[in-house]
Amino acid sequence: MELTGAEIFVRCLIEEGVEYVFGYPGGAVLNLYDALYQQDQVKHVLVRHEQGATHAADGYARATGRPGVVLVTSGPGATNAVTGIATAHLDSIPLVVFTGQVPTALIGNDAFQEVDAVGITRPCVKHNFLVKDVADLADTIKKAFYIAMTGRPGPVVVDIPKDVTSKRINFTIPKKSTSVLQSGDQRSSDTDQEGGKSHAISWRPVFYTGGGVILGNAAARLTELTRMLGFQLPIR
Amino acid sequence: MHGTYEANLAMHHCDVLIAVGARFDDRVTGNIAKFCPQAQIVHIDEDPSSISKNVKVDIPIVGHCDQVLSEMIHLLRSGDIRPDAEAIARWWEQINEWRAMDCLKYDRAASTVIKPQQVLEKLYQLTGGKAFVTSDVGQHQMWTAQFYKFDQPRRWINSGGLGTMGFGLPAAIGVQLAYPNETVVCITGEGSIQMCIQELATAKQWRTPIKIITLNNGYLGMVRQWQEFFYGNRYSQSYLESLPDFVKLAEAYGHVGMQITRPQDVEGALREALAMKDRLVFMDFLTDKTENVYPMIPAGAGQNEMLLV
Repeated sequence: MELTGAEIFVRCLIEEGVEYVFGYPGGAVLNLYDALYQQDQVKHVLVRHEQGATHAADGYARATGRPGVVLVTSGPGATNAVTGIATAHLDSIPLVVFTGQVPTALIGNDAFQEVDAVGITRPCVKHNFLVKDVADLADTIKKAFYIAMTGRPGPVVVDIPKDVTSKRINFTIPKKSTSVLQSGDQRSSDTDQEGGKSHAISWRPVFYTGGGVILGNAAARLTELTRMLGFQLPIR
Repeated sequence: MHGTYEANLAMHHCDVLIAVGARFDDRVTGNIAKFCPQAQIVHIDEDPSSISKNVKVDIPIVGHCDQVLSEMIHLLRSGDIRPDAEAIARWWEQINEWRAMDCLKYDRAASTVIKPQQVLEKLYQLTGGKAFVTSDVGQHQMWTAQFYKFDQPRRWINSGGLGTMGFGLPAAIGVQLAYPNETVVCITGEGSIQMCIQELATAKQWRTPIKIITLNNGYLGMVRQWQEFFYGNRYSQSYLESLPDFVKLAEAYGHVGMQITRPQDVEGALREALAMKDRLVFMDFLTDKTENVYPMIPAGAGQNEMLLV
């Protein structure tokens, strides 16, 4: 089936089970907004400033455990989103942030509303992408969601030039990202080797727990363990 | 930095610290050189780059928290390793002695001015501790952490790492959209709320019935507190002149606005607002201008070096 980049974008969001996109339109993302307009599965929440979009998506992600999704335009749209991206980065919150970009032919020309979104966001994302070819779009979106949600979660930026959203190609939904490793048992610990040896005999133990317990949906397990040990929860 | 006396001293005096999915951030550790001086440190974390990043760890365990904790439970079940119940009881006796200090005490009998802590304690009671609570950044954020006694995950939503003012209102919109039938409260200050105030329009459009509680003391309170403690009471640029009339502002956006000035009106106002299930209510509480957050570990101090009320 032949689809435009914008149509592929929307199909991919639906495929990822996205319920809400928080965003703000502008020149570079008009094709994406036009594709959003022509469907009703993904709801778009129009904010009044791009910082609000990233924080709203962040609140959604923290409360549900699902990734928060943001769509903003190029230039000031992207820079206004940076504070929210950095906020999510420091607290390891899964966001997928789509930024519009000027057409590929104009990148580097100081075009209207052009900033190097990938460069600006590099130190405050878990990963970011610039999609230069519509053939890579679906696969990149799949990877972005996977990276945002796995391991230590975090924000992923996908920068999409305007011409990529208008080009047409034959499209099939990627079932599995082609170059992403599936997570297996990644645990490495020295307890196996030294299982019999007692490292520490404790009379005054303390559990110090952080956001990783919540992000990893381990709260119930933590409660179970501390109760088993006869510790109370928590010290306030 | 603003943890309880008993929690800070328990950390300082523990002999084994088991960190789970935590990153030893400077606001937790205080001065690293004085951090948990007697403890062997076990660190369970999914991210290998977090291990021994800030604090040297004795026993690193890299893995998914839920999986590692499950294995620990399995080991306890299958083996005969048990903690020494007597030692644990003695440890709790010590912790309870520290707790008796009542480090979060404040003037509950204040009759002329609203204490910010009173608003949060009342909110906690009236919502049964079940609300989703977002916050902005500053004193109100610390008081929320201290006085709203969260006991379920994903209910306490705030910018703990970056400390972003303006986070609370839009985050609350995101939470309310995900859970349309739950109570969602945004605790904020008169400084923070103005940083993303425009999102009141988004909340109107999407009919998200958030309850905004502004603890309005007329100051950037946490900045004012540091200036009082460490800068000789020179309140440089922390007093907020020319605040808007938040009641009119809320009404201009199509919401309900309330201003509360007397301690005896706090409970009634909260009840009234929480009962408006389908409206966003903006509550402007005029609170004590000079209240500080205690305990406080000054920057560079150890966890046993707290400023108390």
